[in-house]
Amino acid sequence: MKDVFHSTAFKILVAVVAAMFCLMLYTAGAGDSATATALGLITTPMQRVSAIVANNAAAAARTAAQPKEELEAENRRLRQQVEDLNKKLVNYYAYQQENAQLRKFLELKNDNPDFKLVAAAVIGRDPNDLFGQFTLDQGSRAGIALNDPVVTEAGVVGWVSSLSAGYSKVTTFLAPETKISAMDRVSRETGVVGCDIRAADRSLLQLNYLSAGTAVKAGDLIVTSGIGGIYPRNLIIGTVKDVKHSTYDVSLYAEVEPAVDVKAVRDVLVITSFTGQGEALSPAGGKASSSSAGGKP
Amino acid sequence: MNRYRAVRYLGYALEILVVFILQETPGLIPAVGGARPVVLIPAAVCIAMFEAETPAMVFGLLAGLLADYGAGGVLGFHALLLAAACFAVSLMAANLFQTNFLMALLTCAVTEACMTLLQWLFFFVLYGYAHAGYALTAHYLPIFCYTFALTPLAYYFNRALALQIRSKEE
Repeated sequence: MKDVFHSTAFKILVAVVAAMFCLMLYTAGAGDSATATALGLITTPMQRVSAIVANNAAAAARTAAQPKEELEAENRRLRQQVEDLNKKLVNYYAYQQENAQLRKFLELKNDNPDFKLVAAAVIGRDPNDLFGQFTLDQGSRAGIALNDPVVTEAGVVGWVSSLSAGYSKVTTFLAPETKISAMDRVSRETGVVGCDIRAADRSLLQLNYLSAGTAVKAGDLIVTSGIGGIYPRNLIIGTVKDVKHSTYDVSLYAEVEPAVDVKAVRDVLVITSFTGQGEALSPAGGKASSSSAGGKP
Repeated sequence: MNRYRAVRYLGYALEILVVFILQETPGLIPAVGGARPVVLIPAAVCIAMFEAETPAMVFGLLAGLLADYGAGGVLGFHALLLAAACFAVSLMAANLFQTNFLMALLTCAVTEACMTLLQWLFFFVLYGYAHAGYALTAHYLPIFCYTFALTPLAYYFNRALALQIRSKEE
């Protein structure tokens, strides 16, 4: 035990600690690294498979929890269905799911012809993250770039905060660094949607900086205003639940119930291009350095 | 390196990889009070209790790098801490205390508590987020408790793995 400081193992430990410290400093500054890419190459395919298995298991568990009569009726109906469609059933469920996803995709695309969309599935959620950050199975190879907005057919989810060739990480609107320029669709008043840990726990957002005589009221729909160049205009964020006084100044803020439950979302769309994208960003900074618009500190 | 040792190391590497996948897969490990466990920590610490310093440190490093990759932030934070912690645990297990269930609980509790506190300090307090005290009690404490609750599983699994292969080795 006394000679531990002279041992080879201890020297290796010192070298490892120094290397990890350098890696920490490098990734804190540069954001991405070859190590992360290498780890992603190994783990992303495995995460993709485990996510599919977990989704199927969850669907099976839901069925098992149904009452007996309901199950018997469903079983009879399904047997009939299987017989009818037996010849056509090759990959039926996969096609059905894909069809449903593409239909939503098409609806969003029809409403917004300028959008270029990439469909992606959630394959990882880290237990250390408190704000619902997740990993997608698509990365820069699919055309995704840093700060791209992430949505579902119901509304905004967040933005791409880091990525590699085969995966990307999404920071949701529950994270304090996410600030979304928003507008009340009824009164057309604007504000900034943000969140903190307490609000995130109640699954609520805050529409901040409303004037004292605000016309925003419960039930109003809050959408993105498009200012900032990160999110396109008119994407649904949520519905106003209540309007309250700010604790820090004379302004008011609205509690907004989000349209999307980001902690349960499984399939998303990444908007890789839209009219007005990056317009408010600094000309020298380009897309990757547009952190202030995305709200990154 | 003899064949059994290589098998044991391969087993540990696979264990860490599988634990990482289980930990990260959405909806697989049920959340309790909104918290999900960081199973990589007890797995790495329990491996360290049965191995020499250098391999313990290497498996700590691997587990830490995967934890960093999963968190998506600064790469190296968990790797540095887990490598150092596993080195220390391995050294103490060889020289200071007996490797048994109680000591496994104690070392895992201390390691997990330190890592949770440092995680809170570096990734919440120093980021300037509001309600740091609330985050510690309402989020980081449940994560610690849930992770700690899975320590017996990690200990008995690694004990079985180490003893099974060691008995063949001898």
